[in-house]
Amino acid sequence: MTALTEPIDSPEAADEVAVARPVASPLRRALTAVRSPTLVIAWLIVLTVIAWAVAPQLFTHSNPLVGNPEQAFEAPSWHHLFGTDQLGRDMFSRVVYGSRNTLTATLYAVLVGFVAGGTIGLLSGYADGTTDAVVMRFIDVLLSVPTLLLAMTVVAALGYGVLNVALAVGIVSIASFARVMRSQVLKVVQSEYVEAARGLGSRWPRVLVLHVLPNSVRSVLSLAALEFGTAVLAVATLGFLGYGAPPPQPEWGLAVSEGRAFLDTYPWLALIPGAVIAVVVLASNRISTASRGRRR
Amino acid sequence: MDIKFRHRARLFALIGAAPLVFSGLAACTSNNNPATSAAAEAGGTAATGGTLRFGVLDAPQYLDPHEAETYPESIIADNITDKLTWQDPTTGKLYPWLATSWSYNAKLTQFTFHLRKGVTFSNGTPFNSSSVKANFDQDARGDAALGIPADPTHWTGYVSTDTPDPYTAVVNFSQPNAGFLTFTSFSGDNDPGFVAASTLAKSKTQRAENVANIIGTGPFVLKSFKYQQNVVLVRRKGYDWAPQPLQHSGNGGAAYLNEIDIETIPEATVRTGSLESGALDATLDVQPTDEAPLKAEGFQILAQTVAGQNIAFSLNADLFPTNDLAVRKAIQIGWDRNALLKGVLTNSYKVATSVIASKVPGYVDYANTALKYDPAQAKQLLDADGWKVGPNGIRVKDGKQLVVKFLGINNLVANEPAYELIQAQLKQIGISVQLSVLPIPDFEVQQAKAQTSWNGTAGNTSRDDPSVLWQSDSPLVGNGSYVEAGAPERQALINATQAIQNTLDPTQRNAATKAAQDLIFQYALVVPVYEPAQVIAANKDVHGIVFDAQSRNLFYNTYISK
Amino acid sequence: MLRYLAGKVARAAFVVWAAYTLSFVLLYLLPVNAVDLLFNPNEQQVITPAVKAKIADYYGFNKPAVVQYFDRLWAALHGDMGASVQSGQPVWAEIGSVIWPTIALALCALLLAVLIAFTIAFTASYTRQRWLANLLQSLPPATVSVPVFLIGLILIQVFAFRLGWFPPMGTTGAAALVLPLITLAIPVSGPIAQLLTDSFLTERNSPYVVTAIAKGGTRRWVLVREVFRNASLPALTIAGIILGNLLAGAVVVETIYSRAGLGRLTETAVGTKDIPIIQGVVVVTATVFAVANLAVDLIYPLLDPRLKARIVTS
Repeated sequence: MTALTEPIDSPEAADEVAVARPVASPLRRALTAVRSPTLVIAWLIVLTVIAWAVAPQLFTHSNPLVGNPEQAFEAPSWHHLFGTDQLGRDMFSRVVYGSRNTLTATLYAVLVGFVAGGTIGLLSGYADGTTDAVVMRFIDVLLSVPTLLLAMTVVAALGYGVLNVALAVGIVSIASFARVMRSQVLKVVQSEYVEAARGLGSRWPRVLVLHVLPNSVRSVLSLAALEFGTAVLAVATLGFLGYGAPPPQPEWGLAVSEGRAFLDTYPWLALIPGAVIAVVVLASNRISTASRGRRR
Repeated sequence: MDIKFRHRARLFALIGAAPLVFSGLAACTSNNNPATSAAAEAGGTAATGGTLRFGVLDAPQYLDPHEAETYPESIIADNITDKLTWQDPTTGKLYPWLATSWSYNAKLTQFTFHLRKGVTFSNGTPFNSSSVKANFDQDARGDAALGIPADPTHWTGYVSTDTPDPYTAVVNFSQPNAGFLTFTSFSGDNDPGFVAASTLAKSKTQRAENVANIIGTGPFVLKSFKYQQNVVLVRRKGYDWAPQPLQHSGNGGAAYLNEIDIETIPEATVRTGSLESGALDATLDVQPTDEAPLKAEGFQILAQTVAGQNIAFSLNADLFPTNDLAVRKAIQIGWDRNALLKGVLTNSYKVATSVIASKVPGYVDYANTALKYDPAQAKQLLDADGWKVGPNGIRVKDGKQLVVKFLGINNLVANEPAYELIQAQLKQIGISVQLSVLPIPDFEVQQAKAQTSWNGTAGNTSRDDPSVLWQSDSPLVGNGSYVEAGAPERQALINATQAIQNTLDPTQRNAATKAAQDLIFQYALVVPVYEPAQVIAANKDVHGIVFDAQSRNLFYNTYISK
Repeated sequence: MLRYLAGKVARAAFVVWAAYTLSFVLLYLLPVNAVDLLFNPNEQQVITPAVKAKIADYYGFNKPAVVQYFDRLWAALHGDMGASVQSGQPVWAEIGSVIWPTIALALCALLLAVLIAFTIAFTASYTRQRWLANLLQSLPPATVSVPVFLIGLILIQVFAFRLGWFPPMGTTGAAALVLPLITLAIPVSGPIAQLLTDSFLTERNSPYVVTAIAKGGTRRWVLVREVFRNASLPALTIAGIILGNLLAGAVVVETIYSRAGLGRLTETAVGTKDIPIIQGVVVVTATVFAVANLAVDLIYPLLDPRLKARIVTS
């Protein structure tokens, strides 16, 4: 399994995949932001959709669930920024309200991966060699099934719905969180102050929580930022395949899926929500790249 | 032994799977009746040969005709087998097919069929009365050892088939079964077309493994099957026993087409695009919004509504709050069916005006009576019953909110928007609808516990015979509305639906059918939504595609002009 | 050497077994009553509990989970993964009938992706136009940010519907393969282009490239040769990501373009709760992964002398 699933075994790959660079200081980040207009735009986009999710009613007066059948299939206009759908519902308001479903699922997914994966990685890295080896073999297994297939399997077992999709995407990301956390822990454990703390006779849970965790969690947090974009994409893809929010609830991936039947006649119904997903993922990836200090 | 090893659900099968459908555009215009036009065109100008490339939405999975579920599966079953009779899609009248004549006893428990001679299966074995007996026995009883399920609904009360001579088959029932006569022509799920003795002896797995194991007498023979890709049918040489009204002599009595290539294409836009680009000659499951553009580009739009019980919500009379007659009545009249015509259904669709489709014999129009949109009266009924409007606009009685849970299937594109429209409109009279429109398998899981958890389940049943009311709504059979012991209408409903099964006299049967519809609306047990339809778009060189009584297609008369 | 090999093979076998077991737990123990799925909902009323029990018997659903697990594992070891609940066909037959189109699609897409990636990376490093280099370097992250289904829909809309250059569907003909290939290749090219770009940037300034150029080699070919030599190792490490992207992409691409294949089979199986098929697909992909890993593990030492030395001496 070495190469594919555990690149840290090979010296070349270690830096590339497993270990995130140290997070830049807030001051430096702010400076970078000013110098990089794309980063400013990225932040604006992400903050906007978060605001949509928190308070959708501030951004649109149209009801996302009730439309006027007389106004079905209207093209985008000043009145209906994103046009209207088959039932005459305003697509802009469906996208705005849909951000709540999509982003909530994303947040839960990242949280599941972060907490579960982080805990597994922390304990595994700190535990003795045998336990560590066994846990990591099971992480190998998670990594050996392509993420989408694994997520679909989880959804098949749990059933459809936003929360189940969130859980599926979260479970899928456990492996990468666990691996990053573990590799950090392995480094930290060997450091002098942990050795010192142990030498002073602290009990292991205390060392783990007070010394190891704070010093390893940073890189995992930066992975969480990166996972945000990935999770939006995964949630949207599962929504597109019809496993997410039940209609009439609005959701981004579902909106594309519902609109694609009209691609030839009313293309904006699928393409606009699709573009929104792409822009948000691009923006959040831009931010996470910046936060990892890897400007490109 | 009512054993079924595989669900044949998709009841909705019917249309089942045939999503997109609706739009009875051409269907309703008399000059475009596909059956008559096919017959007319068949008279000599027809060109022989060629392959019809036909697009469908659903992937056929299992090709045993007796277990055909989805629309494409029934189309394949229709074209590789023949049945005893042919039902005219317009008049509902029965015509000879493999049976040249038939009779029945006064009690409608015994049906005698005189069979056509000289009919053979594609493996060369003759079709005779023992073929009928063997097929009917396995259909009705199943065969647990072979993994073949029984069909408990259509064959209720089946006793035996007797074979006094090779060309006479006598089918016996323990109770009157007026609907059986048209069932001998049926083309929905559980198709009663005949397969050879060698097929009947094969296990379910063997039938699935190799299409060569499925042998019928039909105008086409299965050639190949690639799951999720295509099914190819090839013309049966020497075929000369088509249904009487369709019979032509153009190709020595055999079908015109050399082959039919049924391509599975799940995406609506891809079906349309493939037709436009010439990769297909015709496609089923046309997206309603694509009909007008296709017509403008010169393609033919052929459509026919599906006869049977309409797309409707069967309300659960055994579960709060739909156990309350006032609530059911309010749901029946509290939303505007004609609003469906604005966004969801185009002019080519039909809004439901009864439980059964308008072409089923015995249909009565309730558009201006039981189904008339009257929100004021709906509110009044609820007020009088003690449902007072609460602070959030939802009515409340005895501290309980008026929330109803509706279950539907997403296999037809119009379903979801139609139900969402009902949801929005009922909210205005203070009824909150919780809607779940699910894929078929999830629907099935929910349906299994519907009696205790869903106030309404939506679906339709195709069958061009009033007995469909008995099948779907009799408390002793389908019991779609869960009319249980103790419900005041139970015995009346049992009697009314059984009355349809008890007579074949047109006047008496129409009266019985009207009485059953009246009763269903009096107790607001079924809330009809719309009449589903099957829509085909074809290029202008394709002729003679026939819709049968259940709106499945027979390609015996189809040809492609050069 | 032999011990190294045995260890790797054992790990590959473990992964396949564990994938089987995990999917069993997930699919057989969590979900709804599988028996309910086997009946026509219209006929639920007519079917007695006794009949349902008989069906459960037939499928073995009524046995204790542990017994079911060992029964099925034993059968699976003998090549029997059961039959599709929907079609009645054996799982292997059903998967076998659709896997080749997917493999063909994936391999062609991979080739195209490498081509795209190389073009991006090479041009980005070679060009002296700074704006062009910046633009090209921002492409790889972008390709993995855009949903595959959006790429597919845009391509259909533009090239099939508006321009009419390619058919929108396709199991037949080369033209039908063009749009699905591009759709699948774009997201897969991202990580490869990233890797190659990094490699180009590193190599450009490395002493031996500078030397080689000084000796009169053309800048271009020196770069290409060195980059390929040195990028091969890290390329193997992202092979897993690429494989995953290919399969995930295939699910969406086959759905959008109505192509038959493993991706669509999976999508349908999830939609119809066809549990034996889902489990079969999980096992097949885990096996592909395990075998690919094994191959990489065996090739790695050949490419990296340090690792080779360690293994041989151990």
